[in-house]
Amino acid sequence: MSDDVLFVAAGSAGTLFGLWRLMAGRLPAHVWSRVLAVVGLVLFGSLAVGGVQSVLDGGGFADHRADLGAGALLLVVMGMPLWGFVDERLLARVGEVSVASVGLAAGYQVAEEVDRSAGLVIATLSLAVAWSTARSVRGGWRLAGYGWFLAATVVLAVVEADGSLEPLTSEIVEVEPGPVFAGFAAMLWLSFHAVFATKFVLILATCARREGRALATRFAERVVVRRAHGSGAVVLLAVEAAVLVSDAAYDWANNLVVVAVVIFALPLAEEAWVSRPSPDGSR
Amino acid sequence: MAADRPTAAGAGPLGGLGLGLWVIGLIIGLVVALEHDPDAAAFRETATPVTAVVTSVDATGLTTDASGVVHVVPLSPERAERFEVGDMVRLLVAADARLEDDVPASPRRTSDFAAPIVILLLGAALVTADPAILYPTGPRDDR
Repeated sequence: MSDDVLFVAAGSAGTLFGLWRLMAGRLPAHVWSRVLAVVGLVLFGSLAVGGVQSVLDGGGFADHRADLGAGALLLVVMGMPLWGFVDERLLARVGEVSVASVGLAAGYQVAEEVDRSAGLVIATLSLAVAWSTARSVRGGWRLAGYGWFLAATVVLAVVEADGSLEPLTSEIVEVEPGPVFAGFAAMLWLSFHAVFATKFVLILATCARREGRALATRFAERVVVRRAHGSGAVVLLAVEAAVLVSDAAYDWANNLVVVAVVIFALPLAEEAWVSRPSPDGSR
Repeated sequence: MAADRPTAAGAGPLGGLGLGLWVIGLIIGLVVALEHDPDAAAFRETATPVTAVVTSVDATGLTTDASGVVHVVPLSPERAERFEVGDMVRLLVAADARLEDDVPASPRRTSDFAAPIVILLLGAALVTADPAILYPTGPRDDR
């Protein structure tokens, strides 16, 4: 398989995974499963058309045959996040763990790719904001907590995009499907919230008036939820911090994979652990 | 509960206009940011492109010779390695020299951000007067 085809296939699979994480649990199952089916058909169908053309031409699957698939992939990656501007149903409902997780991941990426001190500052401030979010019951602080979460996703999306799209912009990079999958999965989720961040600025602006403040407070109460499982949260954050710090020290995995593990895999594991029925049948 | 839900139905035309201006301002701001290159804008106004021949290539960039005048064009190693000695290139020369294809088609100065900022502020002011437009579906219960 050529590098271009491998890149598009891994990126498409990652995009579908990111889309599933975005929609599952927020939209009715029959809705998100149809959206996934249509987007999957567009992505892999475009790739397959290139394959069919190659067979009809009697040649192998040449690199340029992936162009149609790459176009479809970029269209989805750039188009789907705009959904966040008009439909807030897909917005993440965040608690202190979400704020801290994304903040730690943003700090890690900034430390690795830009500046180590700046990354440390972002990670430390994220923990402080997460702690305040957990303790606060006031709408303003909750709004600030969600603002910090969005700011961290914007930082993470900007730094991640550079790494995720590197195979497209450099001629000397060898395509590794794992990091491409992880990069695109995270990028879709992050860019969705980054686009919403542009609307969140308006939400903050409307707080200048009492009517806007009331609406914004209700919005904050809906999207910022407090998690009761304190011990699980502490264990999860400790594991995440250990993964990030150990990778920063020993570089044992690709940065894109590490970030995807921290913002997807570990919270999923925590969710499964917390929602596991106890032996007496209660949750 | 449904009665106190703010929805787009409660939003007036001011909010819609404000949100539209906000989106337009963001798009214009993004374009200006992507083409933001004050040095290139100065080049465009002061320099006429000259054709030159690449005389050497290394990791720091190109050295060219145009009618006996030597110019050094700094480039990233990845970009520099695309050129070979003898290639014809077009340069913009003012205080410094740059390859013409490295300059945005319409390089923007920092002052070009003024227009999108004014549009954004106007949009924000209108939406602040009519904030219900920001909550088209109203607060929903957690699923």
